[in-house]
Amino acid sequence: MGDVASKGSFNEELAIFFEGKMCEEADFAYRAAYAWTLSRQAAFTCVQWAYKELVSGLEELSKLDTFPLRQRIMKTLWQSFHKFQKTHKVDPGKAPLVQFFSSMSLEARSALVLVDVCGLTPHGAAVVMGLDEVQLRRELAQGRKSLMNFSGMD
Amino acid sequence: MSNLPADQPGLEEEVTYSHSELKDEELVYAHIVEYQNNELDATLTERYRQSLKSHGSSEMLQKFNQTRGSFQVALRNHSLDEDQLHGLRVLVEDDVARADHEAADIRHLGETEFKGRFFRAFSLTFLVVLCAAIGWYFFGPKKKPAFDALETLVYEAVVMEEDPEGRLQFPSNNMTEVREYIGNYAGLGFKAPLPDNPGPGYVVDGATIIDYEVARIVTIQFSQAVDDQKLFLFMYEGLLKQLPKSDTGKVDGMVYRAYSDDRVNIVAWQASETVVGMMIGRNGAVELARFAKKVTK
Repeated sequence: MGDVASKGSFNEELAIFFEGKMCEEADFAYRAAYAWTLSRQAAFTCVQWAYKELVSGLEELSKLDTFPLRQRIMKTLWQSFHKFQKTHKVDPGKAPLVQFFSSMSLEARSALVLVDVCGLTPHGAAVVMGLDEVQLRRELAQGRKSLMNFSGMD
Repeated sequence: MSNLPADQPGLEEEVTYSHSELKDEELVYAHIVEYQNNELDATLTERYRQSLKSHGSSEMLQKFNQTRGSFQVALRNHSLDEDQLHGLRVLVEDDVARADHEAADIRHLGETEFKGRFFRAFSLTFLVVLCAAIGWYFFGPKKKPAFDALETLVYEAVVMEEDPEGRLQFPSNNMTEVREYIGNYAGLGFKAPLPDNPGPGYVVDGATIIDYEVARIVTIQFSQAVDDQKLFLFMYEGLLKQLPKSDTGKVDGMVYRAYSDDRVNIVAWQASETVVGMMIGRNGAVELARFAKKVTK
């Protein structure tokens, strides 16, 4: 099955899966996208783009457990972000999280959020970001080192 | 944090990783969670402990756990709101639900547009009315303040009685001259009925035009030959009904209203269609009315 709705072959089970599990996962996707884009609006747009892509593969996604599913969502999200990243404005930099993320490279903050917030393994994060695991571990180390200076709430 | 088994369905192929490629400090931070969870193998654990001696401490581990917790909480505050979730759910709506939502969206848009138009129209109307009111206030014709004829003219009569010659602009005992003075007065603003001779026993003393900002008053002063008592005939533009209600009398076909003050009596009547006559003196009301009828017939 492709698009759950638009092809006229509405699948109620997949719709329930999407509205339940996929929408639960969307919060993790949104947080990761926020770390990447530093913009709430852009983060949501990234999530929307990714989910439009993912809808066509819902049947396969519905068979995955939580973390493989999250990894697949993040990978699609990462791709959406790279299509999107040059076309958005960053939120005003007064928010502690924006200030904190701005002090790090995209790769370092991405590794940090994917592993320490979204719960992916370093290996899973490496797959999402298209890095080898050594590179991912280096970025993760850099992100965690910066995290020692994090002291605020957004 | 959870770690995934490598053979979990959906995971892509495991990449090769050798911790020897990491520097000691990188190793400390890259494996800080696994070390504390005792998830490292013996070799890596030994290297980690060695690296930790030069690039960390137990206090550092504790601080990392705290800041990591704060960071997770801070990001957990970032969640999709209901509108955003709706924006995702519509991706899998069936045709009926989609049609319903579109209809609701159109309806909502229509209501919003209607409210917007109404608000704009209301605001515009309010502004126009406000501007018109301000313009009228500053540039519109000035409304004349109310003219309290009774109080004002009683006061004038009393003052003139105290200074019967000093306040007459046109002193004359000749009624023809007085009539000409009144008839030729420029800028009176209304056509006053011209007075007649008062007849035996009375003398005309002269006339004056009292010019208030709100009204001009034709004033003719008479004297009674027998005791030099003064009678004052006032005429101004207005209607009898604008005066307070009072006792009504009728003399020789003239309907009048009678008023009294502790000093004088007053009778008032409609001298012409737009002119009110008022006779003020110390005589009784009927007598004043008869005299008024005589000089204004």
